[in-house]
Amino acid sequence: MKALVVKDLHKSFGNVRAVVGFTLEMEEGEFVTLLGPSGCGKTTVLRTVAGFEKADKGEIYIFGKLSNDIPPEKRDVGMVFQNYALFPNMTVAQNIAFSMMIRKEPQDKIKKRVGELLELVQLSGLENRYPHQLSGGQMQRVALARALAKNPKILLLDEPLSALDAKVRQQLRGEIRKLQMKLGITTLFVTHDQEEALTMSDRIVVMKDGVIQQIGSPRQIYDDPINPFVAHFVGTSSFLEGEMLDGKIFIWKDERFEVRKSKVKNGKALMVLRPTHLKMVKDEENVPDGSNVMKGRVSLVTFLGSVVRVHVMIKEEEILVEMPSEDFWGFKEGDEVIVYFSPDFPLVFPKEQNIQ
Amino acid sequence: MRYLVLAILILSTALYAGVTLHVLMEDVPETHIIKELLPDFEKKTGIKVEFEIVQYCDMHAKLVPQLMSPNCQYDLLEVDNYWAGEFPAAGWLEPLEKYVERDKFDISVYLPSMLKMVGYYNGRLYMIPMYNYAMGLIYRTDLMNDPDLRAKWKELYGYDMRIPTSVEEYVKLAEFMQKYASEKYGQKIYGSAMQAQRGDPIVMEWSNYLFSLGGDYYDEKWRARVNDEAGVKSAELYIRALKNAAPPGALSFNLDDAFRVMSQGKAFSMITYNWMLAQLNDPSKSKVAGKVGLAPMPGGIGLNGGWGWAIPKNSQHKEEAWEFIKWVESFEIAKKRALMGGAPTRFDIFTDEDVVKKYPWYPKVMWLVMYAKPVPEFQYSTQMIEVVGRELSLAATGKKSVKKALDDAAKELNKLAKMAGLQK
Amino acid sequence: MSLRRRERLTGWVFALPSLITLGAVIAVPLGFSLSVSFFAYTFINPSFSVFLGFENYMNAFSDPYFWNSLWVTLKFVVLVVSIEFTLGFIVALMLNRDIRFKGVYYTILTMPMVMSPVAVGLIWKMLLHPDLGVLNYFLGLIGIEPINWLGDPTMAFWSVLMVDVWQQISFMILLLLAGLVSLPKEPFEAATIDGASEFQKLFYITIPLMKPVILAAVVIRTIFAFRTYDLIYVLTRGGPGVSTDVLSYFIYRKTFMGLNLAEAAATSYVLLGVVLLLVVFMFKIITSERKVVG
Repeated sequence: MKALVVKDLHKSFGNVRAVVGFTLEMEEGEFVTLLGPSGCGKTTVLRTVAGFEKADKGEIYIFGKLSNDIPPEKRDVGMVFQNYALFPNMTVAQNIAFSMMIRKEPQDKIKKRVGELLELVQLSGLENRYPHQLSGGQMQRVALARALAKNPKILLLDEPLSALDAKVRQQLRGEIRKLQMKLGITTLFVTHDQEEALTMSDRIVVMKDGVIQQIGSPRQIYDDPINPFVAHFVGTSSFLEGEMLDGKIFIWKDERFEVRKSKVKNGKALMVLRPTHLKMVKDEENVPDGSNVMKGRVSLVTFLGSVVRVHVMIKEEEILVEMPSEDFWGFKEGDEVIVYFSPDFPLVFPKEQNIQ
Repeated sequence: MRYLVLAILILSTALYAGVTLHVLMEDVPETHIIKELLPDFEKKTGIKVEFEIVQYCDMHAKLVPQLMSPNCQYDLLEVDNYWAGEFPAAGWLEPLEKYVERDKFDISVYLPSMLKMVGYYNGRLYMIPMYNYAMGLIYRTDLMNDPDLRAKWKELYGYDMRIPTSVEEYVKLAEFMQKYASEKYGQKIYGSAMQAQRGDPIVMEWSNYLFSLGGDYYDEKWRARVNDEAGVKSAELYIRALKNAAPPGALSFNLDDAFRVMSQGKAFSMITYNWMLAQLNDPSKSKVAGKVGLAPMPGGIGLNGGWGWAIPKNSQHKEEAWEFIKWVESFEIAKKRALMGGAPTRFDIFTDEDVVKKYPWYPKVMWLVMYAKPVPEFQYSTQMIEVVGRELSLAATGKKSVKKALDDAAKELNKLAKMAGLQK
Repeated sequence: MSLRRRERLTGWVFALPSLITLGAVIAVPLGFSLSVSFFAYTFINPSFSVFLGFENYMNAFSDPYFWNSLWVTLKFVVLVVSIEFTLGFIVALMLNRDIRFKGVYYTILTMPMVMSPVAVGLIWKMLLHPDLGVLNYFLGLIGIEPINWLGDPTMAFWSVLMVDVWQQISFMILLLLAGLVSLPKEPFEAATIDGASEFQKLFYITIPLMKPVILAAVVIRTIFAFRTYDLIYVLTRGGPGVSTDVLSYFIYRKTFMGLNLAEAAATSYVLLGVVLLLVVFMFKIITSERKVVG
């Protein structure tokens, strides 16, 4: 049985169509991320699954049960909010115990469960603190523990990391993923951060203007974006506008490149170049045969830690090239360089498809 | 000679030109009448007059700080008889004898009772009487002349119904009317539209009962006597009237509330200010216009009240203020005010042919004013009224016996007289 | 260190104008009335020549009418504030949801608040007129005997109370509503998911989150309620008898009728003490839970 099925979901707010024909099926234990820019409808989907919004059209099945008219508290879902949403007047323990208290479970049982959960989120010893005495990361762990307290079948995470510092964010995203795998809980995660999406998910759903653009594993989404928007939103890319000839040759300004993966046969087209697909040398001799070659001048070199990103001006366009730091051997601004890439890499889309 | 007069006129106009007199005035008909006449004064003297018109309740609190400050914002005052003891005693008013003598201002035209109340204090002239509000009995002539009611009264009491001559008879008549007039007309008609709200309303009304029964607040040596036989009897009759002959809620009524009952034709009578007759006879304000008459307080002595003009000692423009008093109290203006509905204080106005023609009851009012008696005037008049009002209200609600309430009042009244240095 | 000192100095310089203004308009009158309360200072004889010590205070305490007024005032304040808070909170909760004509309700609610208490008093005096008032007329239509709203000592107290609630409740509603509107949505959703009922949400989330607003609203209303006197002046003048004689009207009369500024000042200081005690007490109650972990 599927853990969650969303079928042809539609939702509008006034004149704004927030979600249009959204369909998704999730396996039990799967971690799926809804990714997209703000206003793309991802949060609306999440809130409709939680039961806070009512679908205009479409069905939601939670473990096989049609849930459209079931109130949030009966849907067996746990939710973590962007702004923690802890109860400020309650201690950590009371916050976590809230759902159990509402259900009037026996005290000793509550106490035991709270202890377990605190351990799970690594906050043991802080049960008597108040939210205002905790750091952002700690608060979000409490929120996570609270969401898990009633053993939900599905965990909903609404941008839980976006209010945190970069360092804490990175640490917590690993922990959440590990915790999720350990508990095997089906998790729907909403974010606008492609890095979070790529690092945490089993599958990613990329959305734009309420419409699903692509569903796939992080690798698929990154390597094989279905359109320029996905390519643009996930990962970094350079875009070249040109013309396709016979589905084989891409003409850009007066350059001609050989390509193998084109969705266009003839006519105006857009070529996507990932910075990692590009290589850069000083002399033409070092270029492997069969490569597409461009000449340009280095305009900026930025050091990103594990990689170095070089901005190269080629025919008045800025193209990004990335290489592992250890392979970088001293290009500097103003250098004349040769950039090349294999015909296997670049993707070519019809020009009508917009990247925004 | 003519030129000289003209020159003096021009000169005096020039002298006063640019001066503006600020006066705090109560929001009553008299004020608006005078306001209408102001352009005449401004034309004659070049002095501008600005009235700040407020409710009575705000006046005292506005005046006192100004009178205490080195420079009074008000150049001219109207002084209620409540304050006619307090203000001179505090030394806030300019004595007026020298102005009167210098300009040969005739004060002999004023009713003695008015001059006594809002003219002299401790033998010195501080105020010029402005208008009166002596109280009397206003009653429904139609009910009084109703043959059925008259027959009923005769049957019950063995004599013809008449305008009551004593407080007791008044209360009896009020009770009678409430019972039988209501019966006859099939709607509630209260005997007396009373105003027994705590504070000055209840005291003002009760004072009529007290004075008419020969009682008073103090004896001639300033010993309190509100709790003597007359005092107790008057309070008992007053409370009897409240219980048997007054609208429910009269304990919270002030003049406006009582007026509403009377003007709606829901009461037989009202012990009130004589100038209320004009209001009740005004068809735009009253359903009983043309059906009301005025008589002195049964028993003869009503409560006198009135206002006087005065000049604060710390006034910036004493001469101009005096100039204004001379003008507003001149025969010409006083008559105009009376004809416009004002409440006069001078013999010659009360008896003026044109005035009497317009208001035939004015000679009667004059006698009413002559006999009427004010509340004692001293520093603590307002406090005295406050104390008596509170105790009467307590007695009327049954929280205290009449005797106990008046004894308590007398105790405090003695204290006030001692504080004022009047009682040794 | 010197930098910090200089910063502190700058702070003082910035604060100085407001401190001076506050001092002039608050501290000076307070100090003046405090000193007046120890002398035989009256409007008739405004001087500091006779020092009385605590005599003015003793006079106040030995006056049975003072104790009556204090009792009436406390009764009035406690009842008015609790009724206004309870009703106000309910109305605020009802308005804090998606309903139509919100603007209309707001306008109606604001109206009594912007009216002067004297005008309100006069209007109500007419409505409450036992014979000619609309209220008794309507009661008559449903067969209820006319009520002597202001003429009966017991009823008068409740009538005044009712009029005050009528006028002042909008303040409570608007303040509480402002608080409710600004509450974050998420804790409520979190509680919804956890299965809390509307009542549980009210007690576990709304009220705790609203505490600062509630405290402000209740304290402000309490202080204002202690100062009520215009309404009393217009409606009852403290009567019938002494049934509605609140302390601020008592003090007003002592000042402007009794002209005894000194005793009035002494009584005012007693009132100030009572208000302070009550406000501190309220702070204690409302903030007590936070204190557990501090």
